[in-house]
Amino acid sequence: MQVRDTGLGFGVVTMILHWTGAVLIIGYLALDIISAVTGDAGLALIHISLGMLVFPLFAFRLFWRLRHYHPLPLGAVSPIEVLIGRGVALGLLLAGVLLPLIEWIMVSSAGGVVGFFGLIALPSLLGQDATTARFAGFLHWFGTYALGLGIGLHIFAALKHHFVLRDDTLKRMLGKHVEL
Amino acid sequence: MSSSSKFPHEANAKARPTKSRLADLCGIALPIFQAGMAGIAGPELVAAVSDAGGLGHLGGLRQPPSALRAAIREVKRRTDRPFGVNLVPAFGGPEVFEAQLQVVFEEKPRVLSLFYGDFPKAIPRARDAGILVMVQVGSVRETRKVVEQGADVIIAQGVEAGGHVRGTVGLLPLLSSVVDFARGRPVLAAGGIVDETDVRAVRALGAEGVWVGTAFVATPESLAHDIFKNRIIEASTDDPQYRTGYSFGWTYGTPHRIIPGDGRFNLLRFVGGGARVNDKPAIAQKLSLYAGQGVGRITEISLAAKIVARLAKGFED
Repeated sequence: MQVRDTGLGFGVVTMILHWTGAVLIIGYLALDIISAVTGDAGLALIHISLGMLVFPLFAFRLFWRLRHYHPLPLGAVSPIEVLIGRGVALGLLLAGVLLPLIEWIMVSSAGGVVGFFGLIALPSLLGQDATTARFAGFLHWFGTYALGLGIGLHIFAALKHHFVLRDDTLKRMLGKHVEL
Repeated sequence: MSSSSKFPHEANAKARPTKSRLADLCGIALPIFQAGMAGIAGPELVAAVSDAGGLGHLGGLRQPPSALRAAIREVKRRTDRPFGVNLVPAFGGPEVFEAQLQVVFEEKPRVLSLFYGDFPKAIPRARDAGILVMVQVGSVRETRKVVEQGADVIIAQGVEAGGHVRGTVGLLPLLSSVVDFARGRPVLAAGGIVDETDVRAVRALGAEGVWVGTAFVATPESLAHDIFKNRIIEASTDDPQYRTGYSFGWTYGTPHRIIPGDGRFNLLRFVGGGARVNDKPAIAQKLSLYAGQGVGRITEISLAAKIVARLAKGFED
């Protein structure tokens, strides 16, 4: 199995990190929503800690994505749909980098400490400042909605390929070799 | 070049001896080459042009290798005349290009035309496989390079051309210079060529054949969306614009010429592309569509054979 992505197929690095990242970011988003609804501070801390895993993983995935060619789309899909699909996927990678970073700024500027599952405390990115905290809070709120929408669109497209268009787009990301 | 019998322009002209060494080299009747437009030049158009005595080119860009092979075989089913395949490595990466090349080497079309890349290894490999290699260039510097690399035929693309353009020089000064630096190789003229008057003009500058794209978009045989075809026949010479923004699948900033899409709030007008028959009408309407500066003189949707016949008149003298 190839390591790098090429125009003919995904490499093993992308496939493993795609599914690891999917679990992490859906968990990250779900914990954010549940902790906001229930007001559970413990869940919020796990959410923030999870963000510290999401950040480096998605930063690497973004780097890896931009360094390699993307496999050709399967089936007779419209170029515009490909453009939108790839735009959403890239947006998700960007969100995985920016949202934890914004959250780190938000917590730091509000005087809090970002920790990693209670094991270590990460240094503050900025000094305490209420205006920065409010602005970062707004960006985080907006970004969370955008991330939720992006994940929804991405899953919808994957299911459409699998069940409606009946091509191997989803299976290809699960490791199936597809002859182009 | 004196008699029409040497350059028959009847729609069903058979390949026969001509006074054109380029046509003889390609085994065709007329040195008229249809550009390999991605997504637009499918088997039907290619076979129609080749059947009319010219040489059709499949657009290989964006084609996965298996689809390219199927398209080549479909052309072979439709015609026994020579045809070509156009490949562009700028899309999909080196692995896709290599896989496409393997298909071409195995299927052996008469001609492989290449564009937008560096081909130091592909050219000799194709020639070793017995395939004639044409390379489309947009500058004298590139001409020198591809001549060194062994290209059999040079296509001089003026900046008037539709779709992606390689250089910034107009066909008039470029063509003469490319002929000078081609070391005796045949040179095709590309960019804004739609009828026999254009053919006569470029022949006067040393072109031995013509490479025509936009005119063949507006044919019943092309895979272009009807909205795209109508946009071409309605457009004036002034409409196509040179852009360096985004065009689908290409690196941002790759120069291309389009007829802009309508609508102030239409974001798709910033995207260059070629709307295909299976694209949604709304997309065809909004997209900025590839077209060269010859559009002002394309006034109707014509059979490919009719366009070949009209261009052929330019070779009668």
